[in-house]
Amino acid sequence: MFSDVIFIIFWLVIVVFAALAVFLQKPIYNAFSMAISIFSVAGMYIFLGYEFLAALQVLVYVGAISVAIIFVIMLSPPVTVKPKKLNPFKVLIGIVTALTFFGLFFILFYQKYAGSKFGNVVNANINEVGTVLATKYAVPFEIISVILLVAILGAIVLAKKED
Amino acid sequence: MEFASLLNTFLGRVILSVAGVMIVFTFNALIAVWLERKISGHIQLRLGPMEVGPHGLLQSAADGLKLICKEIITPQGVDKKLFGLAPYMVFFPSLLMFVVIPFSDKLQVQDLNIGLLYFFSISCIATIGIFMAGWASNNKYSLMGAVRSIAQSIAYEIPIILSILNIVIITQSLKLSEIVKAQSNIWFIVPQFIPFIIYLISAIAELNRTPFDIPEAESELVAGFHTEYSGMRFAVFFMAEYTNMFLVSAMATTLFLGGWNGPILPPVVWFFIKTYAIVFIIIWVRWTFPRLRPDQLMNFCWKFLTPLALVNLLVTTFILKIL
Repeated sequence: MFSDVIFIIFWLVIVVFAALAVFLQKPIYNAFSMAISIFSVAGMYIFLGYEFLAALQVLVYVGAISVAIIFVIMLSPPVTVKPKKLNPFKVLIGIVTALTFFGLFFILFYQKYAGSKFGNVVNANINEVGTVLATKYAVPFEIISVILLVAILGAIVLAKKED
Repeated sequence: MEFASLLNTFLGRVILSVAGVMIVFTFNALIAVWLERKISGHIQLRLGPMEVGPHGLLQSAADGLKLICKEIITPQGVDKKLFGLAPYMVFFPSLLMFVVIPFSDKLQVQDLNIGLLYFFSISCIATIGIFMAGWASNNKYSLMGAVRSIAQSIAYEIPIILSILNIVIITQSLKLSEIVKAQSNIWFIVPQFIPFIIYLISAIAELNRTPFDIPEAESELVAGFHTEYSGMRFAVFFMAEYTNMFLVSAMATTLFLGGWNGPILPPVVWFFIKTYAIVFIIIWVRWTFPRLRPDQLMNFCWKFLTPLALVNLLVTTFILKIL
C-alpha cells in the first residue's frame, strides 16, 4: 500500500516533468524540468532496489549532462520561444514512432521478465558490475574509454582552432 | 510507546532521523558561524563578537532572528519562480547528504551500501540550484558568479573522487560504516596522507571559500550568484554554505581520521571533535591566504592536483597488488 503510493508519486513526477520539459516555452525551464524528471527516475531505481544505478544516474545525468545543457542555455539571452503552429503530419509521425518503440521495448521486456516480480530482476550490486566489467565485458569497456579519449582530444582540437 | 520500540518502527525512525538531522544542522549553523567570526577576529588581533551571550556565543542566533524578521525583497526583472526556488535547491542536497554520515556506530540515519557514492552524487545537485540563482537574478555579476562556480566545482570534483578511490580500493567497500571499522587500528591519514591533503584542498575549492572564492570574489563580482538575494533567502544560501562545510569535514573525518574511533570518550564526541578540528583548519586557511586568480585556480586543479591524485592512485593499487 505505502510502496504503491510512493511508486505512483515517482511515476507522476517523471511523466509530468518530462511533459513540461517538452511543452514549456522558456528553454531554461525545459532544462530544469528535464533535470527533475531524471532525478525522479533515480528515485524509481532506488525503489526497485538498484541503489548503485540510482547514484550513477544522479551523478552522470543530473550532475553532468543536465548541468552541461543548462550551461549552454545560460549563455544565451533570456528568451521565450513562441509556440509554432503544429504540422499534423509531423505530429502523426511522432506518435507512430513513439508507439512503435514503446511496443518494441514492451514486447522485448515482457518476454524476458514476464514471470519475475519487479525488485530483483538482476542483482546489479556494485561488486558484480565491477567483476563483469573487468572480465566479460573488458574489451567493450576499453573500447568505450578509447572512444571517449578521442572525443575529448577532438573537442580540445576544435576549441583550440578559434585562437 | 517506549523510545527503543519507537526506533524499530519505520515511521519512528523517519521522525527521529529528521529531528536528529535538524538538531545537528541548527547546532552547526550557529556554532560554525560563531567559530568563523571568532577565529577570524583572533587572527586579525580583534576579539570578534563579544556582546550577545558569553563571548558572543548567541550572536549567530541573534543574527538569524534578525534575518527571519527581514522583508523578503524580490527585485524587478528577476524570474520570480526560479528566483524563489533556487535557495532551496541549494539547501536541500545538504540535508539529504546527512543521511549517510556515520556519527557513531549506532547513530546513522541509513547505512547505504553505496554511501560514499550517494554522498558525492547528491552533492552534484547543488550546482543546479546555483545555476538557477545566477540565471534567475538577471544580473551580470550573478551570472558570472554562477558560471565560475560551476566551472570550479566540476573541475575540483575530479581530484576529490580520485583521492577517495584510494580508500575504496583499500577497504573494498563504499559502505561508510565499514570504512570506519577498517580504521580501528590505523587511521587512513597515515598511509594516505597525500590523498587527505588533495581532498582537503579540493573540498575548500568545492565550498567556494578563500583562497578559491572566485565565484563570489567581492572585489570583482559583488557577491557572486547570491548578489540579488536578501533576508531569509540569503540566509538559506548562507546556512547551506556552513552546512556543506560541516558535511565536507564530517566526510574527511569518516574517510581519513577514523570516524568515531577513539579511546575513553563516547564515539559521537570523538566524531564531533575530529569534524570541528577540520572545520577549524578550513576557517584558518580562509583567513590566512589571499585569493587565487581564475587561471591559477584552473591550472592548479588540472595540471597539479589531478595528475598527483592519479599517480597516487596508481601507487596505491600497485602496492596493494604486491602485498
